[in-house]
Amino acid sequence: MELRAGDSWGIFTFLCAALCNLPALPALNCTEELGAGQSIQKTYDLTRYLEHQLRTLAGTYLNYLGPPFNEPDFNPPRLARAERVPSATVDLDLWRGLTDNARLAANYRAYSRLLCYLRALDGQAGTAELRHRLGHFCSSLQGLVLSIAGVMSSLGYPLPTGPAGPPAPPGTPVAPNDFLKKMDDFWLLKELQTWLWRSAKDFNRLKKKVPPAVVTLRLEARGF
Amino acid sequence: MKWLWVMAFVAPACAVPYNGTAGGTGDGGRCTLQHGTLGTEVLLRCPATAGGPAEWRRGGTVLGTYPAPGLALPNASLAHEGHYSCHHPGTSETWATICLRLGYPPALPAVKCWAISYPQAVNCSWVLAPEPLLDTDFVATYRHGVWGATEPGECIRTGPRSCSFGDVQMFSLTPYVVNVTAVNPLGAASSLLPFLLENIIKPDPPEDLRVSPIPGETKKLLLEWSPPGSWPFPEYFPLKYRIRYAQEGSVTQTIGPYEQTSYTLMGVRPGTLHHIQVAAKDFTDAGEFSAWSLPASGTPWMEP
Repeated sequence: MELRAGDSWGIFTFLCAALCNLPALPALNCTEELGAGQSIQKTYDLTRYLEHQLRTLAGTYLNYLGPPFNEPDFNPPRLARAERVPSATVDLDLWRGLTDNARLAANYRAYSRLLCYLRALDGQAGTAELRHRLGHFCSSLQGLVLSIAGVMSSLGYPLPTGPAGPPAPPGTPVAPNDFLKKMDDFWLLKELQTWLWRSAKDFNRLKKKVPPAVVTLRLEARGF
Repeated sequence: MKWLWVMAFVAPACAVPYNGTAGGTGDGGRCTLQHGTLGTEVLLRCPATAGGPAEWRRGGTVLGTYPAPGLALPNASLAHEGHYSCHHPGTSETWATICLRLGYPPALPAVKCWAISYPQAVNCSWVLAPEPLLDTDFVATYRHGVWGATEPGECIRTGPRSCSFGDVQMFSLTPYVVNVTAVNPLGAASSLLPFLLENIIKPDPPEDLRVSPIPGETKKLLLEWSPPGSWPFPEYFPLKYRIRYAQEGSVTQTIGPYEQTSYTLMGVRPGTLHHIQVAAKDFTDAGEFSAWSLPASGTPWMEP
């Protein structure tokens, strides 16, 4: 086979190599064809999967926190602490107007931060069952972050830079007491929920806008 | 906007107790309106007495002379509604005419809210059970967040028992809270309904369902429909559809969900009438399925 410079084969080979070097995607192998369209579909599927997982995780975690956090009609005011994760909340016009790059970058940034905070939670969680669930969720969430990164690469967008490391301990304001710490955890779960709702819609939107390139790749593969 | 004008003029009039023309035997005049609760003991007060007895009449009939505070009607029923008059016991001078209306203080409104046209607006409606029987007015407001961080906004009335508001944020961490207060002369009752916008998504049923035979195919039917007209952005927020079908006299089967607005039903019993309905839901599974659409029927193509 001939590798013609600059065509889809070149992109495909690069993508394959890049993805194979990422540690947390054991299910992929280099022969899997991943046009941007299919990556977006996988990312979408992953957000839906995480949304379902979160329901069980949140239920278990809120029960661990105990009342009032596990009461169904618990609607506390949002305390004026520094917003740790960019908010998913957005109005229609702003959301509609997002470029593909901005849309992807917002998701990437949010989940990178959410993953850090969730990992911090994992370290302190009470029961073995909870630690197991949190651990599993964190792995899936990491998969999502990498999946988004894969989509951005395949579309030629640079990954957002910024505070990538864990934000927790030294320097940042830690909750001064046990109750406020639990409130932080409560809001973290809510932030995860709203981001997963938002991401499903974001990636569904991207699916429509980015036509799957995979058809061209497959035809060429069978051509020789 | 017209609604706001109507409410601005009508609302003050509604708040003032009406004079007289209610309860129409037409002997109108200055009739003092009094209200009482059905099934309880209702006390008719004569406005003119200074703590003394009064003669009470209803229509032409004298009911008797009763001491202060007034005429007591035990276990009031609808038969007790109407015009009463109180008179000086000796001279029969008419002191006052009283119009008695009976009903119930409002029960807590049972409020439901849906985002039929996500994410443009929220539509709410409510019922009062039991019906108060008296003219009951409603005040409907909403706020974003529970704790008064924002000013309450008006939930614009769209009907006697419904309202709607727009300008909502998607994926909000804090709930919207709708407050519906029912007010009538016997009392008031308020209901609060908190919700997250994404949890109340419920489109209207799909429209324009058509069932067509496919020439040459005796075991297939072509189903086509349109998204509900009230769903404003199907290109940004696609819907998925569930299909329910049954052949004449048989058990219904449900299939789906599918994203397309058409479907070829296969393995259909030839020559039999089939009844179809379709329901819609947000594609990413937020909220609930719509109600089933109006049914449409069709028979597969038959050899001529």
